[in-house]
Amino acid sequence: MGGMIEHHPDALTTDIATTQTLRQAYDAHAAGLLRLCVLLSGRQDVAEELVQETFERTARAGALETLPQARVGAYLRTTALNLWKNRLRRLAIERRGRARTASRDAGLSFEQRDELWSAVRRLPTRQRACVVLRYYEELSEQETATLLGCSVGTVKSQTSRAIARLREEIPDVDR
Amino acid sequence: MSIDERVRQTLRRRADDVMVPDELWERIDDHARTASRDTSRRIAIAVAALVLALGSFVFVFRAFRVEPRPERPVADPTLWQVREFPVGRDPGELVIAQGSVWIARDGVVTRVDPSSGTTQDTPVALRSEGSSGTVSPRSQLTYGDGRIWTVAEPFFVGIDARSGEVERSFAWESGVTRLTFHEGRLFYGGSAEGNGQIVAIDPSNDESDSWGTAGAANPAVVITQHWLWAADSRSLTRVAPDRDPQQVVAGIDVVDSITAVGDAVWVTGDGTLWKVDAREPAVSASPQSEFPAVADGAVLLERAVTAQASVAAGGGALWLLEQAAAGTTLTQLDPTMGSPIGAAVALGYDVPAVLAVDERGAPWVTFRNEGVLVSLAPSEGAVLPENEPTTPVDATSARLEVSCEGSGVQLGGGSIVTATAEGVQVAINNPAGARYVEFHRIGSGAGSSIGAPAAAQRVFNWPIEPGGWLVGCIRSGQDYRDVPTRSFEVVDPTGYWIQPGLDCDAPTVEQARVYGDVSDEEVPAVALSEITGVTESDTFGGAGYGGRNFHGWRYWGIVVRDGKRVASLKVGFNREITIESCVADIHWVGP
Repeated sequence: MGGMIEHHPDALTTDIATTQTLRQAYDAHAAGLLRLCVLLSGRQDVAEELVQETFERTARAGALETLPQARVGAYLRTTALNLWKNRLRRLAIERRGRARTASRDAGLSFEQRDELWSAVRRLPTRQRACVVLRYYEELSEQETATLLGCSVGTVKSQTSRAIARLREEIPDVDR
Repeated sequence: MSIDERVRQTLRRRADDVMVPDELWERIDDHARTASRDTSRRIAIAVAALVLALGSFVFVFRAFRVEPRPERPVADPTLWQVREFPVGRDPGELVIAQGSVWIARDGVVTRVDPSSGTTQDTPVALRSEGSSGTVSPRSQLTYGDGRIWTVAEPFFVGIDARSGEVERSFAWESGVTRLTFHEGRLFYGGSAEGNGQIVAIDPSNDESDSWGTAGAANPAVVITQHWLWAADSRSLTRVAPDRDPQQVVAGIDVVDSITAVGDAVWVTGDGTLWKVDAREPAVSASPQSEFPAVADGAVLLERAVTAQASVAAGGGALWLLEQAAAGTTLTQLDPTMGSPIGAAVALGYDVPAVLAVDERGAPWVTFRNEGVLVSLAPSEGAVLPENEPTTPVDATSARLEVSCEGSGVQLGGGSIVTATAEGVQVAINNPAGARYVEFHRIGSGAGSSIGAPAAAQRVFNWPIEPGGWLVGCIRSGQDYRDVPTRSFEVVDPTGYWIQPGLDCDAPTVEQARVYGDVSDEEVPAVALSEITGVTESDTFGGAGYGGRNFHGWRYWGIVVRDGKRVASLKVGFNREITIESCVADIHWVGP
């Protein structure tokens, strides 16, 4: 053995298995998760960080090995939402970031041509989350309430306020 | 196309534009492998730690073991006397007046007598001729001049707070919400053409008085000694007594609740608790500014709270209600600093509806699903933290006393410190062994740090400009956002602080050097003697507090002419001189 470096065979096998499982989960869910995070946060860079951390945490927790395949997507989505909520609590960073983003994105052609998306981005955080989960993820009010940790009534009122505000901000929208 | 469908399509279109970058997988994979390599090493450490942790766990488990979700409040009965009153599901606005608690519900105002626990409903859902129906008074309830006031569109309704009978009603326009009573007048936030409207009504003669527009719609109105504050869900607007100008408080873009203690306003929104100091006259009118709080200093303090939090005040006491996955908690806050007074009181897992504080400073909370009103009062003989603010609001100190204790920081002597000609006198004690003490402007990334003393107290003058600041004790690898901070305010009534910079866009720049046999201390005076054009009517002073050792310069002086900063002299530690001038007559004449 002299001079050789020993690898523990079990550890190496576990590494490879974990990476393969993680890759499978990434291929299946990364794109959808990234889209959701962009809609929630309004920013591609923030969304990428959220997705990255979601997969890392999920892998660290060993969830991919224990969860049934059908529940991996929901688990990742819940993790991403929790990470996003945690991020919002780091308020000074988040608020300054939002101000910077608003000015940086001002010249983007996408923003100019899609007034409604700009209005969605300006919604308060909880209202935006309700709108994204209800209209993009097509979740029920109960599912949205469970994910956001609030009551069904709150989801109803937040969604209703959001839609009312969008109506106010986009004058040409059909009533 | 309906707005629902348009929103759906917009979100899908935006989502379709999202591309997954190639390097995202590589970043995840790299981190996963690094974490895996570290695992073996961590296992060994973890085994050792496990043995130690096991003992601690048993202790902690006993202290904090998770019980099945209680339906009832779980405040410590040795400290708090908790009382519950059934009031019906989904209660609305809550007011405490004349020894009773009044709760707005659909079509009725319910009066709860805390002494007997009995309830009495007063129907208020009136109906007018030509009106197609009634509107619930759920969000409109206030007390003033012996009456509980509510709205049952299109009527204002006044209920005698002693008899519980409707004593007065008068017809009004629709869209009235968020009532407040102040000095004989009912204020409400209405809505017209997409703007929030503030209206004051004298209920004795039904005459109204417009306070103009503020926010988007139906703002909540709070009145302090000098100002009226209007908060819609996205902004806070301060209205001067003469109603003009109306100024948006920059830096606050989500408002869930608002209350006033003394002359300061407290706001929660989007996971933040803010204190806005009503004494500060300057408020930025431009919420678009990237760092607006730097310019105005109106937001004195901000703290992270849970995403669903509300504040209420009464009897000089400030209470914070927070809803989280771990349950609902109620915490009394110091109305000066916003620091918790004592431990948070757990109130179970039901969804809270409204928090109110009575004139004795005791909190009342309604819960939606259980339909109960919960009151909290100190138990007899309980030793509770003082109810008084830790620092009187108006107290100012000559010295900022900073003490690094445990993982946090404490401020002694007061949170408002008066600047001297030499700067702000700071004393640091460091029993916790922090590495640095960092100061940061509230609302800005700008700040400075200084090494914390190893043992004895260190006292020094530090160029902290007037305004609101955070201070934190930092260990290696930490950032001020990672550690508990305290806020304080620097005031400069004498005007010692001179803001660095010039009042022109493109000053001329000359560079020179002082040679010869002069001491370092004499260099600024020698340099100044070689500048021409400074007249007797000009003012010459050091930037900041005296200009010495300021922003990396040995000395930084500024010439002020007719109120404008027209020229500056900067002296470097290597005796290099930089003269910047906005006017032709001030320039360098030396070698």
